[in-house]
Amino acid sequence: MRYLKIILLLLLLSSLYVYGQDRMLVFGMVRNPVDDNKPITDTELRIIGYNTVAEAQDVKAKFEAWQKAGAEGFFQDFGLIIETTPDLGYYEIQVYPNGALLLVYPSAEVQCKLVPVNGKNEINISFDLSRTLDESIVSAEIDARPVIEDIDVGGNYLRLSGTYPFPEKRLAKKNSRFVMQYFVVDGEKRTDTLEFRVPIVLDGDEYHATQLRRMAYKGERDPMFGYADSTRERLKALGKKYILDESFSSVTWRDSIYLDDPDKFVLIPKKLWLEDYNRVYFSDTLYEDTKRKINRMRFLEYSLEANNLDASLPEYRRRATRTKVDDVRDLSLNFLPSSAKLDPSDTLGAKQLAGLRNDINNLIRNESEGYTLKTLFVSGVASPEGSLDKNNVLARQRMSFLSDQLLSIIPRARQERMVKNFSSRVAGWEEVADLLWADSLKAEAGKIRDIVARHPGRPDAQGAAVRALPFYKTLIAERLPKLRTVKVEYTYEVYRELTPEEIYYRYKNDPSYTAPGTVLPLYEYYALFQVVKDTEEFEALCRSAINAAEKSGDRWPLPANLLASSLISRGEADTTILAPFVEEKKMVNQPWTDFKTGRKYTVNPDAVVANQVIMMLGAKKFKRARQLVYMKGLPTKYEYLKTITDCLAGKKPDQHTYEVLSNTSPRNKVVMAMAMGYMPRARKSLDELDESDPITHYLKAQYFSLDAKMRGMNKYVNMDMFSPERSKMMHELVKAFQLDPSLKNVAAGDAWILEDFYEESLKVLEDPSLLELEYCY
Amino acid sequence: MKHFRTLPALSVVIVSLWLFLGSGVASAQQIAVKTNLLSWAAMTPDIGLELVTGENTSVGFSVFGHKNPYGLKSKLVVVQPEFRYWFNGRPLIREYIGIAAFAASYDMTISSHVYSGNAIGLGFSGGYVFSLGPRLGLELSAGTGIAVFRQKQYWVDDNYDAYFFGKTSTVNSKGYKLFPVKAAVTLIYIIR
Repeated sequence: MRYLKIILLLLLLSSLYVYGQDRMLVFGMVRNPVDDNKPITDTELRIIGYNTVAEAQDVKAKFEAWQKAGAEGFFQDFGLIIETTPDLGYYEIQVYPNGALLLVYPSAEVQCKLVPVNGKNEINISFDLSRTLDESIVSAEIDARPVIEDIDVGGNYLRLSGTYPFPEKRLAKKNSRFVMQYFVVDGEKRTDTLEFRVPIVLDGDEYHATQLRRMAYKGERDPMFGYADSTRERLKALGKKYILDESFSSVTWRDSIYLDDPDKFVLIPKKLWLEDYNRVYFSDTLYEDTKRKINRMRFLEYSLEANNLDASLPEYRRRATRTKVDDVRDLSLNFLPSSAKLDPSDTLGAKQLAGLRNDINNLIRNESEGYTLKTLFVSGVASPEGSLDKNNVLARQRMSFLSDQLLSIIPRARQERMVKNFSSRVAGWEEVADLLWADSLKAEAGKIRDIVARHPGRPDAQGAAVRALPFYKTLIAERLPKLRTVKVEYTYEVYRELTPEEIYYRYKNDPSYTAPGTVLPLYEYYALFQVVKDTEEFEALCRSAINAAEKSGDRWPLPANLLASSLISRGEADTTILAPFVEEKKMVNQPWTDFKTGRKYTVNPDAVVANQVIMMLGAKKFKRARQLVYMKGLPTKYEYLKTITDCLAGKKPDQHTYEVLSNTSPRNKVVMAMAMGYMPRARKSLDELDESDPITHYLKAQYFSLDAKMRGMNKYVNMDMFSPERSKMMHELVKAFQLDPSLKNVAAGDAWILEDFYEESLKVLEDPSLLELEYCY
Repeated sequence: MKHFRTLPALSVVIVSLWLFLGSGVASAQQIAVKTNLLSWAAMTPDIGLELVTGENTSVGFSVFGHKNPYGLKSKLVVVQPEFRYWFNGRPLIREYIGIAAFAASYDMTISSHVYSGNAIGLGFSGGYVFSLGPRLGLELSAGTGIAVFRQKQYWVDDNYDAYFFGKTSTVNSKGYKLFPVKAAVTLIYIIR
């Protein structure tokens, strides 16, 4: 018994060992408890599988340390891992039974969650996505009236902030709940709500306690509880007061709203209310719109050049492959009656035969150039008048004549290596009936069919009866030649790489090359890329090559990158072209092997990634551009691209960025100084700008306006009438509008330009005499 | 003590009334256990239950009693149901008013007098609950009403039963009085 127990124990341990050695499929749903437990469909969420819990814990600790250190950009050190993203909330991943899953957004904003697998196949996960609450703060600051700060544009994000003071003291109570819900509405249509933001919810202590009681101590039964708890935790972590009571007198909010198009005009209404156990006893609504925004990088000068792949590399070069060509000829040959000789008067037939012999001869002569004749099928048909036996003999004789004509020019060695067949037959009288029927001579056709039916299998008897028909000479005899046909089918193969010039010659002279829908061999596209110079033609060629590669299942980034480079040079953007060739989950320039074909290639070539980043910037998809530019493995030669992307995507520039970009142009010196708040440097740098440039004058006006704002001036009219700054800023703005009227629209939406200053400038623009009378400069 | 036999019957009636009042509750509501600290100070153990019956209402039921506390000759058992209305919108917190009743059976000697009998009472109560946390509360309550009693009342040295010459002794004192139906400092624990 004792030994049996030992054996059983060993078996159990070994099964655990085996169990632990194989990956298993783990699946489940990922839901957001704060959003009514809805499945998380956001594809930015990554679910990463680790072999052991310890490994996952290490990565989690690194990630959290990176966040605490005030991380920027995207965390990249998740290690070599297996990962997936949820599809409509559902995920599947292969992981070891004693491993762990890490749920994470790879940006600095969000928490991550570790879930040990513990041998389970199905793991449903709750993941709190209330990341925007990080930026929402409720405080006890006292202020007189709502203050809504200017909206700051950072890439695709609009950064909002403001303070709302309660109109009465002691409005908040410990048995009350405060809720602020704001949402984003389309500014043009006004009825389209684009997004509901996560609400700010803060409970008084007593409210919180009694609310828990009402929900039988399951807070998740209250839809707002998750938001209230999150707000508490966030405020606690920030060291702020986190419980609503009578001392609360105002609310401060901060949020970042993502917009695909940051220039889109949206409204942001905010509804807020205070409720106790019985009723909403206070409510209010605030409105904010995005007409006027701060855009620090609006006038940033930069030049991003397209990046090219090395087309000479084998993985981008395409070579000719063996091509098979079919050719079919229908010949109309007239022979002398009862003879196998051609009628000398049949010039057309002679010409056709000569042409056919010439073509076959060319194939034979060009064997050295890659042409190979592979098959030759000739079939002939004779008309049915006369004796069947004689007709058969005659048909064979005529076919023999033809075979001699064709085979005499084909060397024996080639004949032995090709398939050939010569056949002949005599047409039946029912085929004559078909000809008559086709010409709508249905009665006559019917009579011939009757004759055939009366004499089945006896063509001679049929012929005699047909010849006795009254319309034989008039209708039948003239149609018999149509049945006398010869069909020649031959195939040949071509295996020769044409030179780029030959290809280009064909491209220029053969209409079939450029006909819509024409698909050329890929190596011909490759050659044409080197010789086609016209931009429009070149881009059309690239698009055609992309389609051809796709149809042939060939993963070929070269034409896509060439097209992208051409568009970038023209200042256009199309992010769909390079999208199939950028895989974010892999590194830049990662070597890869196609397991089906064995072909080796490079995933995410750096030139392709860089071009896609530039396209994304051009399409104002700044967030996506930033994700790509931080892909692991991007060479350091793209640091400038990274810097520009960071700035345009709204990352606050650091000192290094300031120094790099301010040295790139005099205008950038001003732009970067103002973005950093270095007003004296900006003032000094303004004098170095070109006076003939309207943007110079605009920047000067902007500087004075911003300077006034920074010194507490919210209104232009409040500035000292006799101050030189006031005169200068008006003069500069009007000058800018005079030189470039489109700057009026820019100023209308520029929050750095005082609003009444802008309105005054329009008046002065209409009546310049106002400038001279009132504004001494 | 024969009069104690009537107590079970009274309790059945009172509990039934309590259950009836609470029967409007269709789904699980809050249930709290409570104990009157003042009773304990009087060496009279007290235990009660309160069931939330609606957004503003609750019913409670308490039982307390003692035997010879602090050396006094006294026996007491009281059952006390109560119906409460909470003003602020959530039961078991802040102010309420209520209708309280009690049924008591007692046998006590006070200043050479023996009082032995039963009493029932009905009156108004009111109080305030301070929240000490999600599950704890402290209640201050008081109430007054009318108590109707039937008792034997006699001097300590009297041999009261001897006056009935072998027959069952009967009460000699009935009446009603204005009486406090409630006075409590109660600790509440919400169990669910």
